[in-house]
Amino acid sequence: MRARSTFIHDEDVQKCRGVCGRLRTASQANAVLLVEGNGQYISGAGETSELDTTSIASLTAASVAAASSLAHLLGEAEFPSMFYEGVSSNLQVTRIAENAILIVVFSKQTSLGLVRLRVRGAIKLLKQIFLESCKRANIASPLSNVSDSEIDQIFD
Amino acid sequence: MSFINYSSREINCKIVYYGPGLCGKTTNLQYIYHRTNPGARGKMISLATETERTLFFDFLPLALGEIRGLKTRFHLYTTPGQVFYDASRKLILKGVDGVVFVVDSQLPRLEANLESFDNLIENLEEHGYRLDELPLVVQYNKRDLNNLVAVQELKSLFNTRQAPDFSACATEGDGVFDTFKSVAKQVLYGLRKGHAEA
Repeated sequence: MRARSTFIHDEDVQKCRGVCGRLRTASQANAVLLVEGNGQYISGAGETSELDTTSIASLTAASVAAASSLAHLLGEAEFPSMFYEGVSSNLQVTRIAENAILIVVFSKQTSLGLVRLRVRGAIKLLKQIFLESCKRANIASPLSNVSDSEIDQIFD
Repeated sequence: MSFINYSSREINCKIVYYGPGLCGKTTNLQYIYHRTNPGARGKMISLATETERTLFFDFLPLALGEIRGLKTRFHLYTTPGQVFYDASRKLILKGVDGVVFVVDSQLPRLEANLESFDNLIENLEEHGYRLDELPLVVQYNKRDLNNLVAVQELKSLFNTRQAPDFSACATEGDGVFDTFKSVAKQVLYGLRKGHAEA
C-alpha cells in the first residue's frame, strides 16, 4: 500500500488564520485554534503562544472522536459541537468538516451565546476554504527524492 | 495518515503502541520521554485510572529533526490494553501511520497476546487498513522475567510477515529506542513512495 498523506497549503493556512483572527476579535475570545481531525494543530489566532497547542489539539481530536462514537450509540448522526465550562476558562469545540475542528478558548469577558453566534459565521467561511483546498490536485510526496541516508541522519 | 503543513513546514506522523494489558506500552513511552532532550519533546499526557491503568491513551509528541527543511514530528500514542476498552482502542487507531505491537513474553500472557493481535487486525480493518500493509515493529517485551516463551515461537505467532522485531526490557530501556527508530524510519521511507491529498 502506498503511504497516504494529507496536506494543507500555506495559502489556505493564511486564509484560515485570517478567519480565526476575525472570529477571535468578534467573539472577544482569548484564542482560536484550528486542528486537523487526527489531532494535528494547523493554525490559530490570539494568545496561542501561552497554550500547549500540540496537547490541546490531540486531546480535542480524541474527545471529538469519542463524542462521535457516543452520538452513534444514541442513534444520532453526530454531536457537532461541545462546550466545556471551567471557572475562568471555557472551550467551545466545533467540528468543521470530517477532517477539521475549531476550538475557541474564552473567559468570562464574553458569553457563550456570542461565541456560538460568531462561530457559526466562521464555520461557513472555513468550510469554503477546506472545500476549495480539497479541489487541489494531489501532489507528489515532499520526501519523494529523499535518500535513505537523509532520513537516517535525523535518528543519529 | 501523515499530515503535511506547508505553512509551518512540518510533517506530522502518528505511531500507535498496541498490545495486551500490562505488556509495557506506557513504559515504552515513559522511557522515551525521560531519555529525550526536553527541547525535542512535548508534554506526555496519560489518561489513566486511579490505579495507573491506561483509560483512554497516553500521548507523547516528539520532534526528530529536519529533512530538506521539513520538520518531522511524531505523535506517539498507546491504547488501553484491557479487553473492555475496545471502543477506545478503535478511536486511537484513526489516522495511524505506523504500529508497534508489544508482546508480553511471559507464557501465562500468551493467550492475551493472541487476543490483542487479532483485535488489532480487526480494528485496523474497521478503519480500512491492513496490518500487513502498514509500517510495523514487533517488540518482545519483558525478556528479563522468568517463564518466557522463546522468541522464535513468538516470531512464528506475531511476525509471520518478518517485520523488524526487537527483544526488550522496557523498564530498563533495552530495545525501546530501537523499536521506535525502526517504526519511525519505516513510516518516513513509506512517505517517499506515497502522494499527498489536499
